Amino acid sequence: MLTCHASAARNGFRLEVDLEAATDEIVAVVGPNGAGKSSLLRILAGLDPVEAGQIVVDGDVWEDPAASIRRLPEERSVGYVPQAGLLFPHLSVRENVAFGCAEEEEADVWLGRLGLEDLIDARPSELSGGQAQLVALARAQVRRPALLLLDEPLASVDAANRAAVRRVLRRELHDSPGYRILVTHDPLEAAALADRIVVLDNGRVTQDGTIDDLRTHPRSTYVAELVGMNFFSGEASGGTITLPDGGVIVSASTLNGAALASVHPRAVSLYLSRPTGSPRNVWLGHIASIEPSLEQVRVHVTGQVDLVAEVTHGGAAAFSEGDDVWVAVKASEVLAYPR
Amino acid sequence: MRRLLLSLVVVLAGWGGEAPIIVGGASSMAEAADELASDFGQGPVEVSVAGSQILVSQVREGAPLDVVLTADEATASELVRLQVLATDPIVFATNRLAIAVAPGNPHAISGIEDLANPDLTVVLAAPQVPAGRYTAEMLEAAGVAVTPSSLEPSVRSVLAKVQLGEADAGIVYRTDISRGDVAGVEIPDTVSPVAEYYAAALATSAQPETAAAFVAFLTTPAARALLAEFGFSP
Amino acid sequence: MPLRLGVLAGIGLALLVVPIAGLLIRVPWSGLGGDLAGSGDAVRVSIVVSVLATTVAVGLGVPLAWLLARGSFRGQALLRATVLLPIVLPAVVSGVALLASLGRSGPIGGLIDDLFGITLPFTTAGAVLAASFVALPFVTLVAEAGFRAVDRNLEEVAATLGAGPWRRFRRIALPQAVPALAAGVVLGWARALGEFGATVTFAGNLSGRTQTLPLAIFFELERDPEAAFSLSLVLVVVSLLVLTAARRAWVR
Repeated sequence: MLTCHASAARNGFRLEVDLEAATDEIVAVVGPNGAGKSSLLRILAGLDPVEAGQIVVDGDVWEDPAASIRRLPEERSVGYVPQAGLLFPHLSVRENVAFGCAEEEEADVWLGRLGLEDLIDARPSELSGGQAQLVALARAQVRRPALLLLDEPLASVDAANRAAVRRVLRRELHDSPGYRILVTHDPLEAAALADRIVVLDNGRVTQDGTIDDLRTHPRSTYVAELVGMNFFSGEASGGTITLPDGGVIVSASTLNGAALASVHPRAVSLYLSRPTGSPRNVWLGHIASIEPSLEQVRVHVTGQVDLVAEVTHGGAAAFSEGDDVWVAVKASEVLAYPR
Repeated sequence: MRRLLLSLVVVLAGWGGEAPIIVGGASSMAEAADELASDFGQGPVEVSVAGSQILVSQVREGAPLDVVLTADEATASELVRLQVLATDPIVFATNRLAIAVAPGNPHAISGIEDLANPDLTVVLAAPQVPAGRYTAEMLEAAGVAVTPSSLEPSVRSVLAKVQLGEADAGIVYRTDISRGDVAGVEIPDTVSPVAEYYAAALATSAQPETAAAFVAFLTTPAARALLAEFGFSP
Repeated sequence: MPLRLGVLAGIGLALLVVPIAGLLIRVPWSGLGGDLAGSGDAVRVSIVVSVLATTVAVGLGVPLAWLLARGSFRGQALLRATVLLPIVLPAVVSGVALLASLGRSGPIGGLIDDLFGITLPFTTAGAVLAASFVALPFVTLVAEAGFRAVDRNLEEVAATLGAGPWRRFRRIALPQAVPALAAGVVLGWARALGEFGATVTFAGNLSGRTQTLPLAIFFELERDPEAAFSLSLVLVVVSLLVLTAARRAWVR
């Protein structure tokens, strides 16, 4: 078990994190820029000190200011892959990978395993972003660390190679026996690489769960936007949720009290005339904007309740910005849960 | 207003008319030259001190000197050879060498023969400067083989090395002994060469009369007495 | 380039080039061989002293530069100013300071004399010390700038790979700072080679032992100015060659 209860001041804001991880899961830390994701990794690696709290890995106390315990980075079994890899520019690829291990043959084994055998004698300046990232991974893995930390592993990889690098990364993360924590701002990357997602916002963990949990039960506007869901926060009474601005949305539940609700944009239907049938949520709205993407068109509708509808390109042809439309959402599509 | 202008003109004229003559003095007689300049009484004198050989170089390169006082015959005759003098150089003072040692003479040095002791740290003036030339002549004539630790750029730095305790003994001018925080060991007149100081007015002087008057002043009884105070002989 | 800048740059260049050109005019080319043959001792002493002094300055200046670049302690600004002091001090003041401390009757020099029977003034070691004293700040200054330019993130990565402070310095920081260190070595060496005032004051002047080329030039100027010009030419040519070669090495 890895537990990190850490409090630290950094760059003018306070990081206050409770994080646990097991060896049978890959954890992704996501959050907006400046949320403290990289700071968290630096604390785990021992590069920055913890002011209060404790870091314990497999029963070993790595850091505990109250007991004056602080293992230096070189005394921790970590593999740290910083943003953009940060290879040592004056060393060859093999020398980079061999830096942390006793035998150069070990380096060759790992480079072969990551498909980099042709680059053994190359200089870091000759590598692409993706190659550098994989070399940095090999450099960390060669020490078989108890804790593997990756900071934005795909950010410096160009789009053309991203899928291939992600595939290798995914395999390596899967095959690594220790704790694995990666940081990313990209939910797709998190979903592709990790089993569990920890949302960090303004130095605090705001949500912690699987990607499915996050998608169906977002607990903040940030997460809702991240997973592309409509998100509401209000007071429920018998399943009917009243929003702070007076809007009302009806769910199929019988929830009472402080409540959150999510609606998938594809569950929002738009009509030119008042729909027939029995949807519980129907109102006349106003099209504020229309944003086409590759597969769908996202239509932002204001009205009794502001939300986003996802319609097909064919369906969207009937609407234009500024039009009035009828909005309908089935109560069964409104997922309500306690706040 | 007119009076103000007039006085300004007078001041400027006076300034121009009272330009000092410049006397280039050998470094071994810096203090004496200053006193001679202030006792001259026939116009302002400024003293510029440098090693004798450097004075010659300055004259050769056209420095605006009016009178030169050098510390040996070699530099005086070099000036003659350069044909820059208004008159032949005259000898106006003499000096002799002495051994400078730490106060109390801890190594009990009694003469130049003692300087051959290899355990002593002895510094001499470099043979390129007059004091060094005299020293070399003297040691050779006396048949004393001294192994110097350093050949210093001037007789003043020889004195300084003894004064600072870095050297056990150094050969300087007699006139130097009284100036430093050192003790002197006499070198008999029969052994020490005589260092002759030469004075000459330069042909390029803008004030030839004053320059000549200063040279003449150096052999007056008043000047002699003053030089004697600093340890120079006539 | 704006005309007025060009004019000023031209005047600046002239200020530097004209004296060197004047030197070339006065060099007695026909007697050059003889003058140089007579100065073998001074050339030898100069090479020995400047190389040893550079070694000392690098050996001590690099750790000092590391301390200044990475340390964070009270009095750091004062320490830096102290390190740089010999750059602005007249060399003769450096010599006097060395005499006052490491001379035979100085507190430390006296102690060394009592303990080991070694005195530094008037010895080649003294000349090396004087040259080291003036070369050290140049090495330190340039090396510190080099260390400051090293990416600290790389050292952090090295730490997570198990490298302790010494290994991080040896394997990461030092190689990154090599161009700056090379520049520091050349500047320090050039300063040591040209050293005059501190050497003549502290180490004295004795042919074959403490008389370096600059001292030989100074004394030759009194005896035989032509020979002084010849020796000056040697210093100018050697310095120019080394500075050009070094510049090429560290720009690449």
